Amino acid sequence: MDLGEKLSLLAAAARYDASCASSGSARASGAGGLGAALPAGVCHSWTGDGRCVSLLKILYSNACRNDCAYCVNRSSADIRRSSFDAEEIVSLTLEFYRRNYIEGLFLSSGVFSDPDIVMERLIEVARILRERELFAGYIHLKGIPGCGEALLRKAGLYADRISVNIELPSSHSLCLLAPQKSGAEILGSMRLLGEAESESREDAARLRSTPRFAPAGQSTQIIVGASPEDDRCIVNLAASLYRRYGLRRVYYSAFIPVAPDPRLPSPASPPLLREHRLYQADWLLRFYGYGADELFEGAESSFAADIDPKCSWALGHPSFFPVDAGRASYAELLRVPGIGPAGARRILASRSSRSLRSEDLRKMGIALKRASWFLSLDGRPLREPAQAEIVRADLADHSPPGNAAGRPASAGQLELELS
Amino acid sequence: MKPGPGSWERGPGELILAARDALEGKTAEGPPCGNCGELFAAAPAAPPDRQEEDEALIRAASGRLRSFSLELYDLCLLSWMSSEDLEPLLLAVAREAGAAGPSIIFDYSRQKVRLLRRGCDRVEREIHRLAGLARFGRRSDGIYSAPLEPDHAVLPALVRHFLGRFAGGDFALVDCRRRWAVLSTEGQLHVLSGDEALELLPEDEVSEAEGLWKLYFSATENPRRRKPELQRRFMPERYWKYLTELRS
Repeated sequence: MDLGEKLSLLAAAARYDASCASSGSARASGAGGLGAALPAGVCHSWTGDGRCVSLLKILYSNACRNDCAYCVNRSSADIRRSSFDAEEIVSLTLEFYRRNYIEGLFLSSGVFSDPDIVMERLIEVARILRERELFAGYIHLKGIPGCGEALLRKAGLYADRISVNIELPSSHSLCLLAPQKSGAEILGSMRLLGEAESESREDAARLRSTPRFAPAGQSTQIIVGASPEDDRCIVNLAASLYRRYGLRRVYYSAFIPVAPDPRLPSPASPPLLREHRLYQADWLLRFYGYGADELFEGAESSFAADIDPKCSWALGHPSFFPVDAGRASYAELLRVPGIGPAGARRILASRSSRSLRSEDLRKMGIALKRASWFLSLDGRPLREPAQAEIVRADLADHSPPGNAAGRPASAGQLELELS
Repeated sequence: MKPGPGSWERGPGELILAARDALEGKTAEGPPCGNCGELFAAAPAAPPDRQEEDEALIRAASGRLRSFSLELYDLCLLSWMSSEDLEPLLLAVAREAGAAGPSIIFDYSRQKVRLLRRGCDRVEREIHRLAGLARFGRRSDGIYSAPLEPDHAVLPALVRHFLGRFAGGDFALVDCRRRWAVLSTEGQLHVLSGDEALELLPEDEVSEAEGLWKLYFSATENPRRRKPELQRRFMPERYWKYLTELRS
């Protein structure tokens, strides 16, 4: 197989991993080196599915011992198998980097051998890039479940980010669909990565020259819709991963059937709306101060199709509103549909020098169509209260899933892995 | 296209001096022609006899501006790169800030602040976009060169970005619309204009790396999630001309 065929095969095999971030690290090259990593990350292109391309995302090998039902590379699949060698990946990364096609490398692999051996191969590629080529761009390595602790620790010295994918939200589903994987093992790797990261942060606080362990932290991915777990279960899982292991990102990937299997659903189209709602909820957890338990009322366990989770919360808590735009705190403003972190900051900034008028809110870029149902100024609601059904119909988002609502308007963080 | 501050003959230095004056409530005197070394590590040369004096003036003015408000200083540089005429707005905002304090620069309910920031946001967005969308070809002399047709004169900001990326390696950025180019070679920056600038464009040959990149680009797309309208929204078609992966 020539290099082009191999690249096509092993890139297509890696495209089901939603992660594409290149942010969260800062590194400059030394003399004779190449590249830099930037805190904000850079998107280099967008494919026809609307997802950004920021890293060269490939598998080292698509040969795999595991037979996970949902995976295109499962051992029982009748597909062509191939592997790169380290020098091929190094040269592709450098050539693409110099032409400004990518920010760096995202290297994953099928489990073609003992997990330790696979992990060693991935680390070797990163080592050559960093030590021989003095490459200072971004490197994301996949942690191979079941590999030894020492190898994960070593990987973190070369990589900006390490991810171990949990893939399915319960150990029951893992058992059923990914019989060779163990939930406990995956969580064990995440715990280890979390500990190594916080240790290195503490060491760096004492001694600045300490090499940082995976400075962009760890992430994971959950497949949505391959197994019966509901949104509540997935959101709770994500929240506890953020809290317990200090994950930076949880990615959600709508299940796309790759082969008929009686254990799996066969939806006509991937559950993109559900994926979109989960990303919206994820933003509420990370940037809006919501707790996972707040996002579902009573026995509810799935997000509404017609309105986003923030609007759902607002409609379920009429006593919280209206929020007075002239007096409310930052945290209170963030609970108002139509106000995000940028809008809330602008309201606070302009309030400090003069009193607000509703006209000012519109000029600041607040989405008054939504926000006006929930805001008041000088004790007067901006809009006459109406019946809940009328408000709900007005808040319904008719746009197809695309960009996560609540995403900050600035171009700072561009992780556009959304549908 | 506006010929004034957006062009390279005058660096942002003049605008910085004028903004400083506005801040202090002075009406601007005829500002000297200068170049600001902040954005542009090696700026186009001012007349040799005036260079030293101007640089000192501008350094002092930009120091004054930065200590008053980094935000205002950034707006100054972005206005300078903009192809819209943002200078009057900038100077008006500087006057307001000088009278009422630097916090008004964040007050979007003020019309002038809002309009200035919207204009500057457009420049900033293009800088960020082109940091990703610039495509470099390797010339036979070993220089990696990227042709660009930006809406705004964003080369200075991009130079700073790519200096970090190339880490001492030779590269060139060519603004084909304004016929200006910046060449970084052996640790020195050179600014070229006209035909000299266009001579730095990459040669037409298709390299092996370009072919591989196209293969990668089509393999990494997930056909079950096709959404071309989203692709166009993030990557407007006016930028496609130089994108290796979208050229047939």
